[in-house]
Amino acid sequence: MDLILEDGPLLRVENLSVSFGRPDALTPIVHGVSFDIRAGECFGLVGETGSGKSVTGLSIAGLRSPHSGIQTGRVSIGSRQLPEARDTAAMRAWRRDEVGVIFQSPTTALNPRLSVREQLIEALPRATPRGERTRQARELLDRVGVPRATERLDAFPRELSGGLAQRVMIAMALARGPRVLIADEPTTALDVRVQRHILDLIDELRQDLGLAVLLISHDIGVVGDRADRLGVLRSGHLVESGDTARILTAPADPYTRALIEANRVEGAHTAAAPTGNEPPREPLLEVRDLTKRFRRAPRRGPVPPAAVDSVSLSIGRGESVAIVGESGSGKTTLARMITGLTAPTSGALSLAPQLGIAPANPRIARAQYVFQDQFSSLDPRWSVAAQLSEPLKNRGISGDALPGEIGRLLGEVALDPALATRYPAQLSGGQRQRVGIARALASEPDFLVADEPVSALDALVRAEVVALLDRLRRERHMTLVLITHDLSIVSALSERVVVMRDGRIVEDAPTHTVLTSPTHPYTRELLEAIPGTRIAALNSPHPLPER
Amino acid sequence: MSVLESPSSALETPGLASNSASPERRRSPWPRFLLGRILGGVGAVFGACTLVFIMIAATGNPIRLLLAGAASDEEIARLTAEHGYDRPVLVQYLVFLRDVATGSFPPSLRMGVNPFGPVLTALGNTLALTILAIIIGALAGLVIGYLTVVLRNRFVVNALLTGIFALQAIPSFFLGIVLVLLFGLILPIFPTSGSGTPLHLVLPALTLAAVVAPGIARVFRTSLLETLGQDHVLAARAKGTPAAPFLRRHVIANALAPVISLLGVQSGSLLAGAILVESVFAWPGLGALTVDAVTNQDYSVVIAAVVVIATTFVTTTVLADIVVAILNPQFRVER
Repeated sequence: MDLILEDGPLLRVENLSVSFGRPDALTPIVHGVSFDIRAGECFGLVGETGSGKSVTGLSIAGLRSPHSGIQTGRVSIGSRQLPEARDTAAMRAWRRDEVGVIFQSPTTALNPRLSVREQLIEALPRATPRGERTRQARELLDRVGVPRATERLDAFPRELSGGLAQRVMIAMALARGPRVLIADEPTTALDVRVQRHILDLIDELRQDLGLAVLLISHDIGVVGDRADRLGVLRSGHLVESGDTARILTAPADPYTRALIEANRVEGAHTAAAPTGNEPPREPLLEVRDLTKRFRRAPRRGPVPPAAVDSVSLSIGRGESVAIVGESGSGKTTLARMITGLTAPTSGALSLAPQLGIAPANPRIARAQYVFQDQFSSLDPRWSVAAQLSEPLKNRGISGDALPGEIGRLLGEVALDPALATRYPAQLSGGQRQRVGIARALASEPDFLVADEPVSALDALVRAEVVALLDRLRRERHMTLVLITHDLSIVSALSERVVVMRDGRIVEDAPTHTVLTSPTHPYTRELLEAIPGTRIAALNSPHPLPER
Repeated sequence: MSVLESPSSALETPGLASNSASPERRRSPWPRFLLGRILGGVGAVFGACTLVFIMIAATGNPIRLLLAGAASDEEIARLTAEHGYDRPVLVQYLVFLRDVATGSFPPSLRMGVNPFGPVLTALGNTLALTILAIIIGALAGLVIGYLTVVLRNRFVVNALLTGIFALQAIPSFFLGIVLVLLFGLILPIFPTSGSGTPLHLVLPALTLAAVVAPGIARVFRTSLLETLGQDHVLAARAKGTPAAPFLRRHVIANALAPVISLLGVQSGSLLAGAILVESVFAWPGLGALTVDAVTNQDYSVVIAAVVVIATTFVTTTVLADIVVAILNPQFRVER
């Protein structure tokens, strides 16, 4: 350990630039980024997909492949310099001794073939006897809050929940007592409550161990809550950096302002109170005691509880309902039963009779599904026009009428009709999701089920797609069922919130009521876990108390 | 997802707590798996034998086929009765099954004895050839696949990939003939025909190994590249794991899974490939024996050989499945 001046920075990054590609055709990814982090401090790095934030993190950690592109600038921790990429032994020592890294997807960041014990022991000094290393591994698991550490040592990654796997990952990162911890989207793949627990753990370890933490995220809400200082990265340029409170209240750069605005609009802490004079709605969908029980996986444990357990629900025509819950709460199974994609085990489901076409499976045509993953839900070999013309042909529109109708649909989701000839791979994430929505609209459905429609999108695009769904809902008086794990987009889109847990409905009330005075403790916990508290507090007339 | 979940995980995922099996109640998946595979294998052998019987029964009286024009009707009738071909088909089938189960086949027309013994001897030769070919082919394939990933010289990598492709495109009997010419005429180090010394195995084994190696090399290469791109490999590098254990534990071991599956599939069909190679090098294996028997219309030998080949094929496949399962952590039971 070097002697560090009382308040001097521990990690220094000076003029870091990274380019990818062959020496004769380099693409610059990171342009002269500089920042520093003191011991015990958390520096947040915010940016969209492709902004170079992960590359920055990997470069500091010495994890970039030495064969792809070049890296210039100076990185140091204390008095130690990041070695040359060619010096593999020194680079390995740097990774081993100085830096701990946590990755986005905890379940894939652990080797599926090796037990937790094997992977932890490997991270500990090889000179230590194995028995001693096992003891240390157990202590590390205790330290990061893994319950029943002794048993977990023999677990394989697939046996761990996302939150537990991320704790194991953190234990691995801490094994050699690094001074710098790089957390690259550490909670993006996790449920909102688990996210809070993991971020709390990182905060606690930072304070107890005096770690310098680099927190990388696309979510300015997460970073704003946790970081002492933050930097905003756009197209590889650090457009703004400084004290978190200063940036959140008075952002100097327009891009930062837009990011904060996108987060604030979505903020769950504000929702219009119902005016109380909405006309009663005629019921469109009636669900009674709906239950779905999946067959248990062969050779595995006891019969699992029902995925959806005696759920009763009524949705009115033109109503916008959000079904909220964490992974495994049964929300997607319920949505799939409503749309007729999954058959219920028991219970009744009735849809108000409707005039019009009656194709082979009436319920599927009357309900349309917008999927979370816009990559896999569009056929990569079909052009946009082909994706849209299939449901149109099902409705009997063909020949000369098709191009006009496709153009009208694209216009409705605010896409340039010229995009009709493109293929999904030639579109951005937001454009793909708009095509997915247009495809759903093409069937003229009675209601739209949107399953996590924006959770895979960047903040700004996300705000745009939410606004689009809101406009479509209002213009078409469309019934919208929004499936989400994230309460923060609910206020913008839904009049009513149904909270699910373990296959049951625990709360069903107007959005305003749920967000301001939730009755179920689980709902309260979900609400409290939503990141972005500081942004909401800084911008609302009634600042929330610090938690 | 959560076989090992427990009340303690309620901290984060209360929903899964009730879903859990406590570790003590976790049963080994092995007995059920093994029983299933073995019963399936027995069923497959039974099915194969039945098919053989149906095909023979459908072609008519074998005695008549064999002696048509060469013997009088009375003689044919006598021989038919003697060999039991005049009995009801069901009785013939049951007798056939009994013969198969006990390994007592009717005497061969040419050898005059129960052909089971000679068939087993030939099987031994074929297995020696096949196993050696798999070992050589797999090792060569793994090395080539690995080199195409780690070497940074584009020219060498492309040469290796083209070589693999060419090797895969050459039919094995042609490669065999080329080897015979090469080693018979130009470079006489290895015998090119027959058996007797271990050296006789070299050329047929190399020829058959050329069938195995390209597939292994290509699958291993793809699998290595895929594994290298995975998060856990980056995480292992982040730990500062030294190069040798890093490659062994996190890259190679993980990338081997599809290679082993491929070997399992190939080991069965390699028996068929062996037949061609055996005839090129006059290696006294099952292939040569079967081809001779078919040419001579020696039914008893054909039946014995087909039954033995079917059994070997099924056994190899089941064994390969079990090896794949052993290497799959999903099947590991807690220590």
